[in-house]
Amino acid sequence: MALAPAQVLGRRRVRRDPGATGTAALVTGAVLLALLLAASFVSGALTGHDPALTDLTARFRPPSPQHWFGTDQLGRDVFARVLVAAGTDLPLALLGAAVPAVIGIVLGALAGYARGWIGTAVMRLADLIQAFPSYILLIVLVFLLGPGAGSFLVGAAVGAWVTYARLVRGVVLRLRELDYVRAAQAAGLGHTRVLLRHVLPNALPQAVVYAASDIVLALSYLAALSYLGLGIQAPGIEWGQMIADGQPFLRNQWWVSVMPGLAIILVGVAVRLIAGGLERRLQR
Amino acid sequence: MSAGTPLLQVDDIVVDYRPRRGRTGGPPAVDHVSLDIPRGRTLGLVGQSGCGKSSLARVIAGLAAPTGGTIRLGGAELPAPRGRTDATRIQMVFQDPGSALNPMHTVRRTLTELLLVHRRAAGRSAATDRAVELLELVGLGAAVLDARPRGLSGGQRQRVGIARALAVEPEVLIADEAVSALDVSVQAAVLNTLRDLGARLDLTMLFISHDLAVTRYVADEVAVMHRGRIVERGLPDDVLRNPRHEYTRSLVAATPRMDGPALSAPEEARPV
Amino acid sequence: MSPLLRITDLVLETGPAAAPVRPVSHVGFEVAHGEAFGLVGESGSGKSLTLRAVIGLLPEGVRQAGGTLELERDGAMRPYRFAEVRGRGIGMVFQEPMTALNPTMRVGDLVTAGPRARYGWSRRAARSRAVDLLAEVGMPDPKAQARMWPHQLSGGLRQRVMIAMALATEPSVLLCDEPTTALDVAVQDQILRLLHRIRTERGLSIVFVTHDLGVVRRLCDRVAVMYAGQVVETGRVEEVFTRPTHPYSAGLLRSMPTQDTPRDRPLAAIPGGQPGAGDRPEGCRFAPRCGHALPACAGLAHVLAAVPGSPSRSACIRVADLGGPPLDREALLSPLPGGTA
Repeated sequence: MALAPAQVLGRRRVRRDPGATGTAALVTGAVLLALLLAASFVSGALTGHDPALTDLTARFRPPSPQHWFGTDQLGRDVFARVLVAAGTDLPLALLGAAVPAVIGIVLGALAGYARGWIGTAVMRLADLIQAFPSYILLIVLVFLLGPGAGSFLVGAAVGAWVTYARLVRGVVLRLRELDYVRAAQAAGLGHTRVLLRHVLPNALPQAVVYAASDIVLALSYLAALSYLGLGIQAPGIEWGQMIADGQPFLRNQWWVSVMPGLAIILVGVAVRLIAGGLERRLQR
Repeated sequence: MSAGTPLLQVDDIVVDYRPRRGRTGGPPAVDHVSLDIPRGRTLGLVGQSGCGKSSLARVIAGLAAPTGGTIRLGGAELPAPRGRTDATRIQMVFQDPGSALNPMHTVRRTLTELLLVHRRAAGRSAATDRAVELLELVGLGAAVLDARPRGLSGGQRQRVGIARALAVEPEVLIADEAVSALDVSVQAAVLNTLRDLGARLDLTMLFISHDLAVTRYVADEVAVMHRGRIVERGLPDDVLRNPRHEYTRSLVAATPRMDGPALSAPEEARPV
Repeated sequence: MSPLLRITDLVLETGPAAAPVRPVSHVGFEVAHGEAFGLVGESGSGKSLTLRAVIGLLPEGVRQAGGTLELERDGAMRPYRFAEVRGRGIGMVFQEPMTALNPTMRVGDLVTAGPRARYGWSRRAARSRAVDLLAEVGMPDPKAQARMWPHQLSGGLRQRVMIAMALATEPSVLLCDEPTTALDVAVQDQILRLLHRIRTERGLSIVFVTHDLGVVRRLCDRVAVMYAGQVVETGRVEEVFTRPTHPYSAGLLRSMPTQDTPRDRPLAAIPGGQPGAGDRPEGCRFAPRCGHALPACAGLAHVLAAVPGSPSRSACIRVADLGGPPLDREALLSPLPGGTA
């Protein structure tokens, strides 16, 4: 007997895209980030103020139509500075999440698929790194390497790949026992091909969702470093640095610290939307 | 069974998962099993889960190395691990329609990948043509080419799994509980397809199942596996009518007969 | 025999209230005192949902949108609230004994945890009751096994423990959701024998959901065959299995290989597949796959009617033409599109 496929297919319910709402969240989050990033390039034109221009006659102006977010202790426009800082913070946060993710995914996939001594070595290294609290590890590394964006990325990568490696290794260990992976092996496909085409693509979604939520973590690392004076150095502008600078005046001139803080929260919301959207779209 | 050298000869296979030192406790998962299947015939392997039949299947398919024993195909021993060409000579159809296919790949990609890697087709369009042929062979058609597994029913997925196994033109097909997860009416159609393919392509098959009635229907010969060993082997109806091993007898007693008696006397065997 | 459990016009819905999908529509059946009733169908037929609705354990997102559930009490059929029957009148045995047993409790404590909490039994009384129950379900060494953890037992023994748990509440109806499906054939047979004995000894009723016709044949007195959320045929097991009055039951029976299936002919498979809850055809839902379908079938209201000359009830209007000895599908193939392939 032969099933007539067209009929059989035709009778099956065509499922609505389960990610319809996921897509909306994903798009909203991405648009928010893109707008913020775009605004950072044209902050001067947008706000009518030079973010670096000090004007000691206009110190600590509260938020007004003239200065939407007020001015800081050197009379600089906080709104312009918040926008410009996005151009530093967002790329660094994205890279700070992406670099460890890529390293962790590669090592985790190898550890899960090859097992043997490679797997053992990777996991022992992971244990070693996880023995240190992540903030301490980051601060020590940046302290040794000297402050700056490069050090931040190295520090974030050394500490954060471990989580991805564990996550991906766990998924790969499960996937490699599934019949379609066995079938690919049984059909004589090479290990590289099986790993890249059949195992990794199915392990990626969870890692990608995790990486999306890690953007906020990277941002908070960066802010913390700047707060300690180990992050972006002036004349570079960065939210954590702005928060730290405004901290002595928090009681009376709250806007100097709170406005960059709000920017971080906004990024957090956008990233949550993206992560949630991705999760819904990628889950099958 | 026909005379001559069997196509597949499985000789004295042992699969032992216990650590090498201090092998105590029960028998190994596969305990010195020998089987042979003549070309073009189907051997049914029946046993309950945990009897070692899946371990044996994986060894024969080259997915795991045996602790001991040899596998010969056409008289020559297959090495372990197998090279790329040897790997294609024995293919497997898996049990779970939910995990047997890569969820991210379309049917087209699943089939053409194998055809191209193994040079069974020259170029993409030739590979697609061949994929459609394979799909038609298993009772599907070009309409499912661009479907992904979740868009297919369980029976359709199993058919794609069969087409995938056939894509590399194997000499032996192992079906490991290939219809167990399917509904009765769908199972019947897939069984028909398997039997039909066996006859049309002169396939040599190892049909593994826990279901004696299903196995009886597909197989030319039946072997019963229990605790890692083959305890009985014979023609299907002989095994059913005249089971010699105690385990086979319990299996036969539990196999439905539509005209058989319903439970009337509450007789109970000792639980296992 | 007098009725004990009666389900009338059960409707289950899922999805948004404005455009609901009905996985189960207008299902009804009656189970007598001491009777074993089989609810058989393929996956997606709604049989498990129906069973869960009886005790109000519907999965998230599925709701009862209609129907009455009644249980006999003091000689009269009365609608019941779930809280009244859970853990006393109606017991349930699940398919997967590994996940249905709390792994952190010893077997003996598991078995009597429910009644102990309800009736305030002492620990000692509960233990001795547990050992009795474990003995009743045929555990080989009940005293020792009462002190074991669930993971130390085989699948068959775990299923016995689950049956003992259900019996501890002294139910009058035992709902069984594919309790033998995850087990090996030989063990499955033992569990069926156990259920049969318990039912005979205790006089309780069993509602047994399964996809396995062989199991129904062995255990049940009466059966309802479900297809696409409806009961298409109901009757005594020996009648339905030998003289089916619905083309679907007939097709199902013939598609199943048995010890006696002729090996030289293809199995009689039913073409196509069961429609999902969201895309069921109008009229008779089996018509698109049916070799007997007439154009009229597509406009038919679903009614389970008495069949002339048979004690079964069937939803098929062509039942008169189906009668007699085994259906010959080939001879009856209709030109209806989609009916054959």
